[in-house]
Amino acid sequence: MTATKTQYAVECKAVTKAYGKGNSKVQALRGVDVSIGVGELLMLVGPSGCGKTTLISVIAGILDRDGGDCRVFGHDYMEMSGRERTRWRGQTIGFVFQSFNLLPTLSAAENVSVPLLINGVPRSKAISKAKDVLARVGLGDRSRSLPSQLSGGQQQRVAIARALVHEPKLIVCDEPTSALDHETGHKVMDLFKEVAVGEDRALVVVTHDQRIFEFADRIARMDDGHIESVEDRRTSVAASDI
Amino acid sequence: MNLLAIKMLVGNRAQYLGIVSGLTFASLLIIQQMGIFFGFLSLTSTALGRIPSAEIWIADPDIRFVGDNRPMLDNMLLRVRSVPGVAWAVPYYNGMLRARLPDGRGESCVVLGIDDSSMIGGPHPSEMIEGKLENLKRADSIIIDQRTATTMFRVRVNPEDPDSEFRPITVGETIELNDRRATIVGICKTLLQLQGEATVFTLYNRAVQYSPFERRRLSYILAAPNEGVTAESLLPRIRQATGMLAATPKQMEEKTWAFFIFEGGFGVFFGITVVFGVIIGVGIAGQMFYSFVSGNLRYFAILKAMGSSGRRLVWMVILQATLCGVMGWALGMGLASLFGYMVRDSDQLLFEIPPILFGGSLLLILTISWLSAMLSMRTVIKLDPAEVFK
Repeated sequence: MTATKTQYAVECKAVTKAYGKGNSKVQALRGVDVSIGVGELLMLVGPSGCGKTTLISVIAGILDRDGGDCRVFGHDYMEMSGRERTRWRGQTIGFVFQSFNLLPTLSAAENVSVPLLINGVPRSKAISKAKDVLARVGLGDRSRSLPSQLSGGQQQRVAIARALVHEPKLIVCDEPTSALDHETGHKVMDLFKEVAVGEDRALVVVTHDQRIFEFADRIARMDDGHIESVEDRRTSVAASDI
Repeated sequence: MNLLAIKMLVGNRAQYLGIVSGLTFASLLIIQQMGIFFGFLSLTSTALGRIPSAEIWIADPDIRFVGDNRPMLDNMLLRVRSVPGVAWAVPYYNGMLRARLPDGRGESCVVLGIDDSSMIGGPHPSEMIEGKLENLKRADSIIIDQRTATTMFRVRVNPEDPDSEFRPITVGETIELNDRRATIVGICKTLLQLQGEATVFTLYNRAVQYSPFERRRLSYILAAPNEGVTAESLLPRIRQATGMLAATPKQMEEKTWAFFIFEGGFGVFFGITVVFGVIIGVGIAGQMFYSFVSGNLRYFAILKAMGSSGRRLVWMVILQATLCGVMGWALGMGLASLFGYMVRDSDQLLFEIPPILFGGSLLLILTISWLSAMLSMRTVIKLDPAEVFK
């Protein structure tokens, strides 16, 4: 495992990935070049099947690439053993899923504490920290509620708290607002901007939801397994301000 | 993470109860049947425990179990008494005879002939419900147990009327054993025996008079070693002097149990029931557990993506299976114990849960749980964390 100090959270060059073999082989990534800076929120957009989810799976270290190079905070997963990669992922990556994926039999605080428990933090300490983070996302009074007792927006806030609780350097979000109405989606993205994006942290968000594009620093448009274009919203917004 | 695993399991009440129910049923089936089996084994050797002073049992060498009647010559008693180290040796008769009751009906009975002078082999004085053991010294006297008095030897209130009601036979009434008069002088507590026949106690010399004439009439010799001599050290000497089988009650019990388990077919019979219990347990619990794990694969994948190792997930599944196993076993044990409590006064069925059944059944049910978990373990081990985005 080698690490180099970098201003990029993620640097992917010519990344390829295919599923299946022979006639049933599907080329999901066809040489993707993308980088995500530290403190940046990058949105990956594109039609279904264009390779967005495959790309964030490779970036998150839960899927092996076939070719190319991909480093996350200077680390290449392919140079790590399975155990090292699992441990590193547990410490470094936070996940937010489309359908929240909260464990239905655990309370909000228990759900949020899961990444800490995985990293070996004692239960009482983990629950205490989980409650603090729940308070940061505005759910301090719902820490004992089960997911079924929460609204969609509240569940996604619990999921965000879960992604943040162990202070990961990279947060990977898959369609975080697609199950939410417009207003709740905006609130969730506001929350992301407020609590998740930081100087030492990067976010990559896969989305179809054009209503939240305004929250992106950069938008990478994918099609047919490669990045078609990258729009820097910071410069375009600044230009429109002029 | 352990608590998380337990909450994942218990929180899913329908599946949790389904798995535990399957294991409870298997546990109940195994413990109840094995409890009857152990009770049955105890019944095969009740005489051994009933006469604690007899540290050595001497019988024909071809005997296969206690109650297997292969009589010896009477002079064998003198040979045993002459063995150095033997403190005392007394005769014991065990034979089947036909009794004729006061109302004219016939009934088979087990006649136990105890030593005329020491009365070793008879019911303990504390077991006498009516009359005294010493009453056996009266002419033609017998003692019967309570079940015999109320069930097998019960007599018609009106002997002339075949539809007449029955009443228990009482002390003072006379029956015939092999056409010889026998007067009931006492009733003792029910003696549980493997065969359901009536039980009659009398003195040895009277018992051999009741029985048809045979040259060999001595069923057993009961003996005890002198003080400072162990029973085990005496056994070879007795065997050498008599050519007979000499064994401690424990050895006799093992011989009896071995016969009923391996030659009597009961081992196969009860073994099949246990195998069925295991198959049912694995079948029901395995299917339910597989369904539970399959239903939770998404969450296992999330935990894997978040940094849980495959080993930790496997441990969580094993923990969940263990919890189900312990719960199922405890409920099964509770229900089986309830069954045992309900039949505690039965004079036909003895239900026992010895420590080996207690521990063995727990181990077996846990094994069933772990086997059930193994059916679904592969899916957890092979789980692709990338599933979380699908």
